[in-house]
Amino acid sequence: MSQMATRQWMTTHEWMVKPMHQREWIERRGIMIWIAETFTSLGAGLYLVSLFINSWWGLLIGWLIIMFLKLPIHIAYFGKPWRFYRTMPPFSNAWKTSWFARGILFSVFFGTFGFIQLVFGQPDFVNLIGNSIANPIYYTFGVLAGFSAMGVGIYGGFIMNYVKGIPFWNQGLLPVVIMLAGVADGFGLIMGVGLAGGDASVAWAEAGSRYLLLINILLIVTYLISAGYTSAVAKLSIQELLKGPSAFMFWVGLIFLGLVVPAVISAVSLFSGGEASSVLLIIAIAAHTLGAFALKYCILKVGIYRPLFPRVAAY
Amino acid sequence: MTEKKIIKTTCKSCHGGCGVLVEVTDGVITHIEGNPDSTTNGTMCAKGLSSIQHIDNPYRITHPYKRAGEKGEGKWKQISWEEALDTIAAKIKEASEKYGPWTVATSQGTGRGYNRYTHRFSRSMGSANVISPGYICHSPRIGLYGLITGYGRLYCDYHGWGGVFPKTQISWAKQLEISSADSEMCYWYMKSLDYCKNLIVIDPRATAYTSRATLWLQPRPGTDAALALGMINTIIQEGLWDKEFVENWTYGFEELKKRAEEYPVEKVEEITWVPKEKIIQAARLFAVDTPGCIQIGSSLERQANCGQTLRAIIDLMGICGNIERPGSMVSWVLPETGLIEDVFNEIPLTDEMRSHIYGGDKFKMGAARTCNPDTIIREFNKGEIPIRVWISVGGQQIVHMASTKQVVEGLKKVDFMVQVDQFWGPMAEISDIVLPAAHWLEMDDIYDMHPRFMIEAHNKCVDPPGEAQSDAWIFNEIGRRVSPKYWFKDVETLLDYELRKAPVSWKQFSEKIISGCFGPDQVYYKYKTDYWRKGGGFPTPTGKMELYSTVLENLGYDPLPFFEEPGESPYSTPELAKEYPLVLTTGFRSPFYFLAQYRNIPWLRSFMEYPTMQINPETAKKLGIEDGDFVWIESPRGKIIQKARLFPGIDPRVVAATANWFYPEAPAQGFRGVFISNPNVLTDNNHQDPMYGSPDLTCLLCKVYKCQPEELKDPQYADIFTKEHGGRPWAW
Amino acid sequence: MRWGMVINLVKCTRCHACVAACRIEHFLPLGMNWPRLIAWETDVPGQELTTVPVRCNQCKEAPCVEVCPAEATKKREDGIVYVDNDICVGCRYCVVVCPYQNRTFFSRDKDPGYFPGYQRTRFEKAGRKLFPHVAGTTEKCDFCMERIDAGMAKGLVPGKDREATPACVNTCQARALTFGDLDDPESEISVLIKEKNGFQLHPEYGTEPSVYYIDGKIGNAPSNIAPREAQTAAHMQHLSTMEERARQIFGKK
Repeated sequence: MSQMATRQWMTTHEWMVKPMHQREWIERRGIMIWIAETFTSLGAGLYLVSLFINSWWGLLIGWLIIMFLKLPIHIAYFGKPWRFYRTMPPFSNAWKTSWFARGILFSVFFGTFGFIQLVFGQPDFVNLIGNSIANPIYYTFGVLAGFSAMGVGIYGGFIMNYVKGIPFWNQGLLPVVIMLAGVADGFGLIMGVGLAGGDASVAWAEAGSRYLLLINILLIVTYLISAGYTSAVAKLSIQELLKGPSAFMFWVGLIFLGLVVPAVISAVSLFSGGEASSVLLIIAIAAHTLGAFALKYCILKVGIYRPLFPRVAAY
Repeated sequence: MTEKKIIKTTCKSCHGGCGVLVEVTDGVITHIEGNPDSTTNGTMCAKGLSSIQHIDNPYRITHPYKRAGEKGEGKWKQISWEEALDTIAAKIKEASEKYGPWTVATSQGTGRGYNRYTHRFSRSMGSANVISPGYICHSPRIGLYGLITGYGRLYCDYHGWGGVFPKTQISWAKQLEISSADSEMCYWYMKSLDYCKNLIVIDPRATAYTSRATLWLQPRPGTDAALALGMINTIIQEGLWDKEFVENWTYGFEELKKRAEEYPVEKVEEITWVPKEKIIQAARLFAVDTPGCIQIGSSLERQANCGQTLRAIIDLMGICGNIERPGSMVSWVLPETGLIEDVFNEIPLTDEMRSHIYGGDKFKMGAARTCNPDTIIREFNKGEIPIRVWISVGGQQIVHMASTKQVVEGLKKVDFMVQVDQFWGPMAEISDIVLPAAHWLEMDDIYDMHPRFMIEAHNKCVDPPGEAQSDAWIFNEIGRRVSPKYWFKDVETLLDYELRKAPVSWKQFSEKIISGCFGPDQVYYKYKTDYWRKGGGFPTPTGKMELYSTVLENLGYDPLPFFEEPGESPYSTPELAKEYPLVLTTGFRSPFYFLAQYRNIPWLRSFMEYPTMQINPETAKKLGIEDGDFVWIESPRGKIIQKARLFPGIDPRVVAATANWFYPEAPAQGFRGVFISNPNVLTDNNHQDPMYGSPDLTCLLCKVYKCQPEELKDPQYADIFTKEHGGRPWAW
Repeated sequence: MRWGMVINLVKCTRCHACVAACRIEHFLPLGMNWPRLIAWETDVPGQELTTVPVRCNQCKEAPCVEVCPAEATKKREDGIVYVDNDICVGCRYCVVVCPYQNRTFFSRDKDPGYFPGYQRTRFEKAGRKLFPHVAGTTEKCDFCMERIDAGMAKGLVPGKDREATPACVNTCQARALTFGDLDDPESEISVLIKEKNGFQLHPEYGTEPSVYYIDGKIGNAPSNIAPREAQTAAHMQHLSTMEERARQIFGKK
């Protein structure tokens, strides 16, 4: 990464005069935000989908992704990682206003509730204490963990949505896009759980994935079109995605790998009447996951600020 | 125990004069800010504030050095002060005896408080060959004011001491707002603008004030004389001149009128590219809304028509009666005790000294007290050796003189060169002995630059690095060895001597007074009283303000102003203009650099990393240049690289290049990158002003084309352009 | 009481002194910019060259205060928004959320010293004790609140007395910056905003910045104002002491 990006030059003729990219969350150590955000989506999505079809293995993997991939990477990104406790009550009451603090709270709730749910859903443990005790706890905490997982999955969208200076992010649809993309990723991953011999039905997951993919394609198109209307700077962001420096990530990563490949594979399986072969499925899952990374990269990378003096600069 | 004290001193980061408070905690400077109890009321600019980065700057020269390799090789051997001074003294004596004292030259950069030492030093040795950039900066102005009004220290009275502020201000090729240069203080100027009715800015490129002024005239560089004459003509044709003043107190109005008639606005529009409506409007504003004043910038003095341009502008002031009136141009009243700077010219110039001034026979105005530097370079290139020993302080002659390559070739032939400097620059690299100089935070001295309304003290705040010494000390020490008669036992005695006409000693002055301002005692309308002449009048041969200069007539020059095309222009050299179609002007000011200084101060370099040339987006588009590209600027003499800034505020036919640029971070070989980006590589030293010898530095022809990325990889300058920030981790 | 600043875009000359003054005042590490100048040129007549000094806008509805998960960015009663560097966790949400981009994250690798590869200067070393910067946290302009607090404790008025006024305001040679109380309708800045139609940057964000800008042209002063009346009494006093001192050197005229 160039030193230019890291060091704050007194670039009088560019800085906030020309539309300027958001850098803190994508360049240099900001890559960690990208990765952590992707894992957030994957983990929360997988957990929610697993809850829906009641797959213990899915729940476990989703929980592990959030707790051991998303959170540590996120905290490691902090300038002062050991102060992370300061973001939580009783040290801070920021959750009242800050989606960031809320997100951390969601994660903490999710970690706790999810853990209890997982323990009370673990077959050996259930056998030990009996269904009658385990089940109510399992379902109660399942609901709690489910809501927390939704919070975890969607808060990133609200965080970005809140940034008024970046018109491309400042769209009401953003949290929905992020949430639904997460769920779609969950469907992708759950197929993997099924394939690996876990307690999930691949066929069902494929069916769900098919609809969500369609919805997501529609959603992303709608998002790009509607964002394009809101401001000239958002249009710039879209141009960067479609034919600018982020075009490769957008077309190859997000559109081709993340949407087209899984959709084609699921269509193949639909018309061939039954399940696609495992090789195709593995390709679909891998493509889906790469697509999840590409989506987050695209969103973070094209965060462009409105210049400071719109009167002259025509933005 | 922390010991904290506040030291009051005076900034000298440009020509200086701003009062400074320096907080010193346990011998370390921990804070700098303006002194509210000074003429500048506690304000300071980025240059002055960044002085803090001169302290402990690892690139400072800390000890005397002797050259140990070839010139420009960068090999040095540390020597003691004793050895350095004795060697210098011996060399001067040797050259003096063998070839005559006039072969010993003293050179300086722009006046930074050492003027009085360089001139005294040179004269004490019996040489008048002082090499100073005066001929392209300030001294033509002073000289011609003196010629026409009889007194040289004519300043804009924007201080309001006479009861009014100027109603109309013309800022002619000047950006006083970003430099307190030439002893005008930007603080006062900007304050006066609050009460100004019309601000007219005359500048070929947009500046902070052009876009906010009442009127902006954008002339072709080098045509200011025509513009001034056009304005004079308009004023006379419309009968707007100050009849009372012109009739009673000026000489030669009819002749001037006749001359001005040769410059009708239509013709002037053609010459200057300024729409005639604007010329007429500017002339009317200046003539009607009086009092008014004209700030003249030194860019006008870097043209081969400099003398006549200034003459025309001064005549313009004269016919509008904007002389000696409160709020117009006022000559400063000398204090009863005379000038502190008398130390400068106390030792008289003998006829013998005068007769050996280089260029003295040709440039009768400019080379009367100092030599014409370009003449010396030409002599060298003819194979003569006009200068045997060259003592240089502060200045970078290599950088500021026309035709850099010739200057370097010439200077290589000097037998013995000494450079007194703070940092390694081109002049240090070509020298035989380099002496470490102290910064203004590290020295005791008197601030009396281009003496006018104020006198201030530089008080030492911290010790200089290593063995560095103040200019006063260095000149006194060399002086003591060469001509002990005129020099003193130590610096304090010298400073006491400078203050001999005042009832205080240096010690008392530095402790008690520090900053004093004499302005409010101005006398206006001096010509109406017996001040200059019994019964009133100006101290000129005719006793009047000489619109028609009898002195110039006697010297063999045209007594009336006229316009002459620059040596190179689309009109004077149309053939050349086919190959080099753009007019190049150089030397505009950056608010965070002072001339060749401060490229090695990280805080200041962070504001502008590479020399930047301004080009109109229209022209740039035709040439395929984008904002931020490196481009070649080429003239018949050579080519340089600068970074392009697309700038709508400049005429499509003109480009402006940042001047005085060398790279302190570049290796000594190649003289610290002086040939890479310095526009003087492009200038010519043959076409000179007949009065002052000023070459065409601000108006020449060039072509511009994009610098290909592989060209930047040339090993000569690859480090500067291709490495991350030129391999200067500090320059950001 | 809400401290605010009015920046006169007519007077600003792009000299960067405010930036340098801040660097000295706060011992800013190289590359850290609290105030900045942004500059552009256009071909619109009258706007050939524009410079906008920017610094933290100390918004009334500051997004940075709202989003800070650790409540490290706080808003004081007098409207100053500041970062408590002992609490800040360094998540950079405030850096991203600020629509004016006036916050900088300070990481250790941004601080190789003024002259990397060489010893730190004594000024830098002293600065680490006098004004420590905490690596891994976010920084921004705080209207020199330490100056304001110390000055007000002495009974001085920010915006009028130097000691209680931000360093950039003090050093501006063009006098383009004015500091004062926005809540006081009589204060110099309130009058300026009202008379000259002061505007804020991006008011549509609803952040209510405390930094206002005024624009226009030089010249057209109504009539010739007698300079002695135009000066403040304090300035006149100051001038006459200077005269007196000068006479000790120059003597009477």
